[in-house]
Amino acid sequence: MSWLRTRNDTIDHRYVEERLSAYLDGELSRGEQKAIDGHLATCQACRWHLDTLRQTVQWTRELPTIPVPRVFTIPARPAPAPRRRWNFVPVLQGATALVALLLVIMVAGDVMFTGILPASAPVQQALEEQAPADAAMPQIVELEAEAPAAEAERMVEKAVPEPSPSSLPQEVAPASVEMTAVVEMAAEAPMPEAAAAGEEVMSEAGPAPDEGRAEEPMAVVPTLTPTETRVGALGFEPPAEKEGEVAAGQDAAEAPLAPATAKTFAEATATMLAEATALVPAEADTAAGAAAPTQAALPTLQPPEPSGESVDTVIAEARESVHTMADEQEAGAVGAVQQPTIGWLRLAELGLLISLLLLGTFTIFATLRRRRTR
Amino acid sequence: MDEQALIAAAQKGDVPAFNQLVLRYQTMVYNLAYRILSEPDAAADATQDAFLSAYKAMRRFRGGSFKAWLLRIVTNACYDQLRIKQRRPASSLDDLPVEADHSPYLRDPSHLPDELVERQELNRLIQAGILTLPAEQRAVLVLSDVQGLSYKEIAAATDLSLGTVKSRLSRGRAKLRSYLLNHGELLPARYRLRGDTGTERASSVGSHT
Repeated sequence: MSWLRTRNDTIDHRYVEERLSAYLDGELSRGEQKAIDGHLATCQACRWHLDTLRQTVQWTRELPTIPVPRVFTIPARPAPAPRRRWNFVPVLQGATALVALLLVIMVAGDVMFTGILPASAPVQQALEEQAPADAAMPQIVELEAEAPAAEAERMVEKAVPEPSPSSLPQEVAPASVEMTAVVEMAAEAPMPEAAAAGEEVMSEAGPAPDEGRAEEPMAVVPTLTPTETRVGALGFEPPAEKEGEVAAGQDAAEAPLAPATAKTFAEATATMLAEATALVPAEADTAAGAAAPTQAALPTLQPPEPSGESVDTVIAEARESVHTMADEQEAGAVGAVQQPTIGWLRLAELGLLISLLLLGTFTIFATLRRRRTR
Repeated sequence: MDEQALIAAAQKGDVPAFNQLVLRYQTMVYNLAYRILSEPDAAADATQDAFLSAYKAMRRFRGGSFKAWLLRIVTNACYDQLRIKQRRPASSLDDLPVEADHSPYLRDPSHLPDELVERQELNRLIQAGILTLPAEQRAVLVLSDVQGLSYKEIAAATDLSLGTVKSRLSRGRAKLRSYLLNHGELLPARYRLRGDTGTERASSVGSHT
């Protein structure tokens, strides 16, 4: 407390002055109060300051009570429930902001993951499908053999569907059915038709291009199931001229007609494996033999190649047809399968937009009305 | 009737019960409003607004001091009035309503004892001085020295911290004191604040508060 020992300084007075009000009300701590007491004992100026302050407060306290000029009771109403609508305005504002935020997030997610236009999405899918298709290329080369392509052609020709109507899904459906039949036999060339299936094929075909045939039917299964689903949905029946093996393979694939699930895939995989194994001996094929129909089958959409063609040409054409089929399938299948997904998203965004507009209008009205009544 | 029962009934929408509360508190509310606003009409508006708001907000009263809760509503109503009217501090005493209007004594001041007249003058001066305070200091000073609220009650009524209440009250009082000193010549000798050696001090001390 050395500051107290100094003379009546501006600093001391200032310290005291600031605390006189609290000192009057007894709101100082004991230490502070004692300090003030000590200072006041020696400082007349501060004593005077305190006295005048005390007098001011005293006079203020003695101000007379003014009687009310009138009565301030509120009028009685038949429905006295206090209106709480003014509570809603901040809620409305919050809700509007929330809906706006959701809409922005949805649109942003939509743009980022599926492309700005629906047309671009299939392009992405096609790109994805190119990857497994390309991954399968080495296998085509691997499994390529001198086995009579005629045998494969025969099978394939039998599997070729009748000229189908112009509708794209129908074109693609038999093509994919035939494709999958061939693929099933050869366990080759995954051609995913659905986005989800495509991803699965990618993951499966990608990391295991060199694995045995056992892997490939599994890769095919996800393709098959949606295909069958789609075929079933379209009411399209497999062409009657399907080979027994093909039909058998299809039966196995038709079993899991329900929407593709992991379980379905597992069941179908087991079935497919059995079928594939059965089919292979039926063909009296080796891996090479199975590859031949694949090679020949791949260009089926194009005129079948003569068996005498060189391996390189076949390979090149196989590659070409793979790409072609990829394009066709994604155009039709992806479009067909993806549209429902896009549709739901668009619907949701549209719903959000509408509710945002409505909410925003209400909020603006409510806010304006509140401002007016204030 | 018991205040708790009245409050409970009012919370359910019982208007007559609420009006009983109004009758009990309206003088306090009006005086608070008047001391802050210095205008009878503005004070009446603020009082009516305050009671209407209180009725609407009754359901949100969760117990505790009803008086403090009500005073908070009144203070806010006064701030609203100040904002709307953008009141300027009265520069001369003539701007103030004659306090004699409210006093039952009054008609002819010459018949009144000098003391009373002097007191009325003083009261008007104090009210004028309060009017020179900024709104925040004004509310705190009136709540404390006119209404007699404790620091804690003031903090609750104004939604301020205890420290803020203390400092605003201190500054408000000091300013009022300075005002009275500066107008001391209007006051009779008995009421004049003075000190011999303190006179010089007064001006230097009063000038920097």
